[in-house]
Amino acid sequence: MKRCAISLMLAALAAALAAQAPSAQAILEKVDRNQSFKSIAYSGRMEITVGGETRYKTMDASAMGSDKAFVEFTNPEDRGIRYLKLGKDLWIYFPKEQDTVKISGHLLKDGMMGSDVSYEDALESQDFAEKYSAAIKGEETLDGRKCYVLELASKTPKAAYDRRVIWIDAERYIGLKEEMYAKSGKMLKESRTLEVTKVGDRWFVSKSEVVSKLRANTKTVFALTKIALDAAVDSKKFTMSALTK
Amino acid sequence: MKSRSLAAAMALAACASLTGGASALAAEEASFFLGGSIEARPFARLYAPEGLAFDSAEYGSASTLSLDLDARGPNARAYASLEASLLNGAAAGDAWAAAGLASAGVLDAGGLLMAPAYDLSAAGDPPPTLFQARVRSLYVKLDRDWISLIAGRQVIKYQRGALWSPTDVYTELDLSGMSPVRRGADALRLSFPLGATGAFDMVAAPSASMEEGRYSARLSGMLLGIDAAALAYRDGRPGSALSGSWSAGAAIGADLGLGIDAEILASWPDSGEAWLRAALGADYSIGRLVLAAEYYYNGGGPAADAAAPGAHNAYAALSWAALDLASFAASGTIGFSERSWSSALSASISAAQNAQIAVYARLSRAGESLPTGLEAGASLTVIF
Repeated sequence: MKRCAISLMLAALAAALAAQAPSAQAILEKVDRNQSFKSIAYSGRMEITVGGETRYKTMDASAMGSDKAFVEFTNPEDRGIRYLKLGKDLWIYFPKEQDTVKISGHLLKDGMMGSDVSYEDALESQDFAEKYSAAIKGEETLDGRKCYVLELASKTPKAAYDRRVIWIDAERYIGLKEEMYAKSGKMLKESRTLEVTKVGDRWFVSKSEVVSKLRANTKTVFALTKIALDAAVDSKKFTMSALTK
Repeated sequence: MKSRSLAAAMALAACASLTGGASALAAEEASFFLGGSIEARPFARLYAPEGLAFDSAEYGSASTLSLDLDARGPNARAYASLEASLLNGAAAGDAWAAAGLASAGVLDAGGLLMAPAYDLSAAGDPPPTLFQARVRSLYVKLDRDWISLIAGRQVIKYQRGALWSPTDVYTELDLSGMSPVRRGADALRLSFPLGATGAFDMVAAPSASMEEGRYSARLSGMLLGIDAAALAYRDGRPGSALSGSWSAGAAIGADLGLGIDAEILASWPDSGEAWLRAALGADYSIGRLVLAAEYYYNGGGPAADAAAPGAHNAYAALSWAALDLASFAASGTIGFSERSWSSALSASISAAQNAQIAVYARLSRAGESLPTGLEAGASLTVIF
């Protein structure tokens, strides 16, 4: 009888452990499996709202890891403007003047073409587990979906933000909401996921709204289409000769 | 003779390297794009013989339709940028004066002028209205992995500095608009990529004869985080600033928090003394504010640079993206030797999707004994 009771207790304990939330690190690794990439190619559309005014910009972008990225804008106002990012160097090509300008690395944190989305946000693989240590803050329901709330602290200067708080969909392991903070503790940005797409066997955020807390009355809706993850990207694309092609 | 050999070598290299390109292109997906803009720019000019006591004025306007045609395949591109303008009043006078200078071989107006029922060959006052058509760019480009060739009218920009760039030898500026526009050069350009950021570039821009053309070879790339370039240049054009001269130059640029660039060009005319031109500049950004300053030494006088004829010149500029949809800019230049100066203020705002409004004012004096001029205007541009 005593042996039977112990067995029942052990079985109950095992069931409870199984039902328990995974560790923060395990969650982060699952998120990375969805959203980190060796390479990405997509067509993007940014709707930038300032006050009551909205402007849109469209682009074709491709990137390899965190170091190489290439963007070409396709909307009439900016058609043919290209960006090449190699490490922390960024060049912009203006087709009308056939002019190439190199801009400083710190501008990678600035909004791309006046939007709330930075070059780092738009072009770099996030690789959360590599760049951040994580802790579970709790569980919440967001837009009817169960979420783990994770707090991430940067563990390398390569990380785009000092601290991030992310609401992670407990079923699909993608961020549904995120707050990004500076070292000073000031909130820099807030983002909400508006659409999620299945790319191959993984979930990927295909439309999000980003609000910069450093600007007044602005928001940017960033939508991605024709997403190709880890597909072969010609490395020659990430060269100065491709920039001016 | 050396120039002719260089041009011939470039043409041969181009033919050899691009053989077989056509068949590859046929299999590749092509894209075609047609876009452009319409700009309307009214302006007023005031003149003061002394100080700021303005006693005469003139007015003008320019309405310009620009068209860009771009056909692309992965290994080939054809591009044309065409412009048609209706010029009234002072704008017609500017084009008229530029055309007059062009016939004297001093300045290339780069366009076709038409004034119905007006004899353009007659000397005298300019017609009140002119139609001007210009070909800004018209070129084909062929790319292979290790070489690219551009043939036709194209902008060849070697500039590093914000305003003055002695090694930017092909640049001629069209100053008739609100901001300077680079004129295209009719040239054959061969470029050999060297790694991700380097290139060896050869340009031939023959004129009426091979001897009267312009030819250059330039090596550029990044070395230990420093953007560097070296240039050799031959200018055989009669009557040009660098007429009948050989030049050698170098340029570097680095980002040390403060952006720094420096250029130097030494020229040896076929007859006469050698001269040196150099520029040193810096730029810095604080949030949405960008500051730039530059010093320019012109050892060749007006013959080397008609726009900055004095030996010592300085430039400073400030641009400020104060609002998300608006920006402001201010700049000033001083020619210390001939006591010339100019200053400019401008503001632009995104009025709607694909529509820009800009206003500007320029105050300048070309020399101590010359009148002061003030030009103020506005432009509305719609892009399609």
